Amino acid sequence: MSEAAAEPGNAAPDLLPLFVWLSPAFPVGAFAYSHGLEWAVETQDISDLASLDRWVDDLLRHGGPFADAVLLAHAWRAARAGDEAALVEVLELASAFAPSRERQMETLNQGDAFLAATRVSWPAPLLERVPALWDGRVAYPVAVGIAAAAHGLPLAPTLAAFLNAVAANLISAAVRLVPLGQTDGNRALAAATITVREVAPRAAGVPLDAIGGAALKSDIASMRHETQYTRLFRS
Amino acid sequence: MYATELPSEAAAASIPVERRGQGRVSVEALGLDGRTVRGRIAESGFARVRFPLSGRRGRSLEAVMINTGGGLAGGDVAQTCLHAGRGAQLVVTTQAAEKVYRSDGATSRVDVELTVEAGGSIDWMPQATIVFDGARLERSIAADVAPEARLLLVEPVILGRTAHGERLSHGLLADRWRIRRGGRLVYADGLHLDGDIARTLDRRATAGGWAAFATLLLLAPDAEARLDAVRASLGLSEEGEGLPDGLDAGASAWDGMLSVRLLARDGAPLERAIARTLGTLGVAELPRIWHS
Repeated sequence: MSEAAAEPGNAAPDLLPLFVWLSPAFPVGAFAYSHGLEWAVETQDISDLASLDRWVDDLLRHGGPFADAVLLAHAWRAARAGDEAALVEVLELASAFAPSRERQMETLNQGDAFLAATRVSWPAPLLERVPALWDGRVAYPVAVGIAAAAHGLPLAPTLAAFLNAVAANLISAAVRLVPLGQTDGNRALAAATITVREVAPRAAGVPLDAIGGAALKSDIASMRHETQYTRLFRS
Repeated sequence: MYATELPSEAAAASIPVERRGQGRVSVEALGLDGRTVRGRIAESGFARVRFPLSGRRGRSLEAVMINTGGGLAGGDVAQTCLHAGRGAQLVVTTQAAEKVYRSDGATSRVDVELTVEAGGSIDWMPQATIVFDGARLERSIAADVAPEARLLLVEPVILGRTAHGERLSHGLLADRWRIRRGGRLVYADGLHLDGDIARTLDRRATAGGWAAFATLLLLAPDAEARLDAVRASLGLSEEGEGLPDGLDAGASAWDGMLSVRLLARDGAPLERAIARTLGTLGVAELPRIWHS
């Protein structure tokens, strides 16, 4: 099966599960995490719409969200191919690929919650295999990649929807923290979709060994957030 | 095209393919009656190791790595394998900053492999890697550490010869860290810079235009307990004086590890921050070679 289409023929694939899983209402608790953005607001690195647009663009291209997209793609392919050794490799790498305590907590808490919710509400044999394959916790993008493969969802829209949800969550945090008006929030969401379209296919082509970014300031922000005096977010 | 090159760059880029170098050093340290002694040592190519008398203090063995080639040209491969046996304490640094020259297209490789047995320790603290503009470098750091052992990694990187006003504007820098404890992956990190690197580094969430960074990682039974002291040494405590000019820094600890990210305007504030922090990471004395 090609990565572009899960269904044979020309029928448009059914993408409805992605709308459910990656909506803010899905119970992964995404609203509690800012990926260090709360500290970037404190330091005034993010202070208005323009600086928010740039920060989100930086992370989609060079930060945690880009690396997560690479992990998602590899998890999807391994799950789709039934390659359990490759899947364990992605599960292990993703659980360790974090620069700070809060960044690891952010991805593992959401990943475990996502897997638990999909196993209950969107059961599939592949999802039931995960605990037998891997006794550790599951990172968020890997959980999404496995669920998408288990339900026959194509990779390209899964990657784009995932990156878009991550960007939307960052923007939602910034709207509350800066604060920004809803109109600016909507403008930021629209701007992020342009980057997501460009970045998602690129992430799909990165070998697992070459995963990486350059968002050092974002990493430092997540570390500094641990001791931030007033915090609304858990990361 | 050569008319625009500095003489040093032209020399580095014109090394013929057949002369591209390999260097490999392997050091085994063994614990013996509360001391640390040399086990098997192997050297080849441009890589050498020395054990200075000044390093023989306390219980640890100090090793100094030397690149007789004076730097890495495109296509060079450098391998360092360090092993600390039960109870052995090995401290390793380099004689000089490692210069990675502008490449004619070939990519240099630096591979570091570290293993630490129970009760042993390795402090891997090379001097900075200086990545010249146009250099191409792939670096891999792989370690496996016993649960009751210590590993300290201190890896400063300077992007461009900042003293000459040079920036890293194009080339390749790919860095891959895979750290295992008891066989299980506990820390993984990746840096990837290529394409329009100057533009990437100018972004606010990346480096904000600054040119030097370092990651410090400590795995040890007491790693997490050191976090407050590490933060204080960096100027991150509430009651402290704050971060020095030209430095940004963060520290975090989890799962038996402590990690520090440093970002600096150039090499000087980076190296000062490292020197201030090492004591809080359990390094009793800076390597003598750093002062010479």
